[in-house]
Amino acid sequence: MNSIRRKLINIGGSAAAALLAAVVLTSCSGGPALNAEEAKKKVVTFVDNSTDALGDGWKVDSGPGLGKCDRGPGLGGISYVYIKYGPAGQDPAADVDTVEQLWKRQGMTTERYESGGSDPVRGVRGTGGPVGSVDFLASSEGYSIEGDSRCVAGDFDQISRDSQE
Amino acid sequence: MTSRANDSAAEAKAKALASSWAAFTSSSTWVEVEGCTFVNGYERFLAENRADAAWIDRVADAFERAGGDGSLLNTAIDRVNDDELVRDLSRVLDGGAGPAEIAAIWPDLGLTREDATDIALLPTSVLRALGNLEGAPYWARSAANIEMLDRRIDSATKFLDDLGRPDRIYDAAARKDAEDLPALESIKAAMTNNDRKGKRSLISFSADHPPLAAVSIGDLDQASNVTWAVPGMGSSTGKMTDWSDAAQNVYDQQGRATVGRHDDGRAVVAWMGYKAPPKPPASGQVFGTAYAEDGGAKLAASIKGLDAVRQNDMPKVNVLAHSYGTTTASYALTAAGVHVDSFTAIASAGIPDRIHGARGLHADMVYAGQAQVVKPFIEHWSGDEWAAVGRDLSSEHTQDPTDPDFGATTFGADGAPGLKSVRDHAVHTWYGGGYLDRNTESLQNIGFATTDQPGRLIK
Repeated sequence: MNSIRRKLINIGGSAAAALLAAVVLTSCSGGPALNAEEAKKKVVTFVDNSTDALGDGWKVDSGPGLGKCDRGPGLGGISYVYIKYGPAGQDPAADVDTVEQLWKRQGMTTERYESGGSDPVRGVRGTGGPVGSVDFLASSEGYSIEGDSRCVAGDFDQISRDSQE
Repeated sequence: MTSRANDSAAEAKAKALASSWAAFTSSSTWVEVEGCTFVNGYERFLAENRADAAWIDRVADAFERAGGDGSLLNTAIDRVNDDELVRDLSRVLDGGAGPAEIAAIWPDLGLTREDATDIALLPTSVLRALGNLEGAPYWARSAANIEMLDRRIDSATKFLDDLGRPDRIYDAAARKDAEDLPALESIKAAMTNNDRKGKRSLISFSADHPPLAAVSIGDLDQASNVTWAVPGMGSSTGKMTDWSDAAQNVYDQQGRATVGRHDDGRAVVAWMGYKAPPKPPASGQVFGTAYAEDGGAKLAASIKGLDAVRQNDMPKVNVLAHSYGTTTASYALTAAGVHVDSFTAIASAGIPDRIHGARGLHADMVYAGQAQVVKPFIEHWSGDEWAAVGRDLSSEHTQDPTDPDFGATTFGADGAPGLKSVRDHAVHTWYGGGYLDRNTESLQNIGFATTDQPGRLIK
């Protein structure tokens, strides 16, 4: 136990030094403030436009549904998550490119990713623009797009309880 | 109807009596009264009467339904005869049967999902036991637990509303409910999916303070892939929605990881089914194993309960654990009679030393992910500050499952092109850098690990 106490004391000393270093935080949402309905509408429109660019056969898998988020440290909020599934195309890499170009034109910052394996899942993730984040995942078996609206003011727990009354 | 009317009249008289009694005792200081059981007893009598009225309504409904064709079979009467149902359930509950026996007996009760609303009418003592009965179908447990949750919230609210009333009747159980109200309300909030995919069920709900609970996202009676999500230190039902939201992220990611494949349904259980140790410096219990051993036994019971309910169509079973939850899960996964398809450990606070690596765990596959270890406080928000501290300060659970010698299949959490890095010990952070936050390398890998796709992990 003495050993544990000594280690905790060392950690505590480091903590005191670190706490003196003030960190200026910025909100994770950015852009003009939206209300919940506007945030929901924007993510639905954005994802629907994206799937329209990829052809037919897309269906809503989930949402737009409420999620928890934070507008900054200690500033809880809500966002809307909207997920659609679609059929795999002939060339997933080309479809990732199509989606990425579309998103860039709408002011998104994009990054591509790829899973491991001999038949990897490819994807592109976008942030900024009219939504908080959006993610297109393309595998040889199927496609999906998950959009997450900007984080806006709202009490997740209260809204969740109210919706059950 | 008459019963209810009489109850209302009697209740008014009870309140008047309680009020008069309170006025009498406060104005007559010479009266020494140690207890006043007759006032409380009268209130309990009325509560029982109200329950009886509900039972009578139920039988009347059955006759009404049968009125269409003018006949009511004895079997139909039996099924809605509340006393009969209570007796049958009491026999099941009191018999000391194990999960497999319960699962075998249950069909004899003749209950189906359509009876969920009737289950909600059962007496509190039956609901409390049924809601946590391993071997009983999860729809029935959830129906019982949701009703219990609502009754306790009503009890707490009424207790708080009546605090200033001179004629209030003190109720110790209601006071306990009031103390637990934040947790009860958080569990209630976690019971809606808010239009996200996956129907929610309350598959366990205890009388502990605060209550323990488990919320299933997806149908545990039918899912072909089940994941028990076990939280770590500092977790409790006081913030149930934090854990259920993280579990929803796992559920969504699993769906995206298997898009285009045949899907028989999946379930992710936000399992707040054990008392987790507080975060230091409030307590050093996180460096010990007492909480993990107790929680491990509870998790093992839950896993065995699923095995019993689903013995004829076993799903793939995964355990996903975070922080001290990995210590807890390790005890469950070394318990006799427990075996799962996969165990995924993230930000492990240490696997117990008495377990000899991944081979010592009852899991076909063992996965482990850990963000970069950083110095506590000094390097805040740049990696995982606490997992290594949990291991290093313990004398009983020091094994790092991401150590090559441990023998787990490891995956990355520090970010990859297009995927965010984990920069905290938590599962969720305000800047999206927790182990179960969307768009992280960690969550993507967990989606693959818990859907049996090790080849797609990013190392």
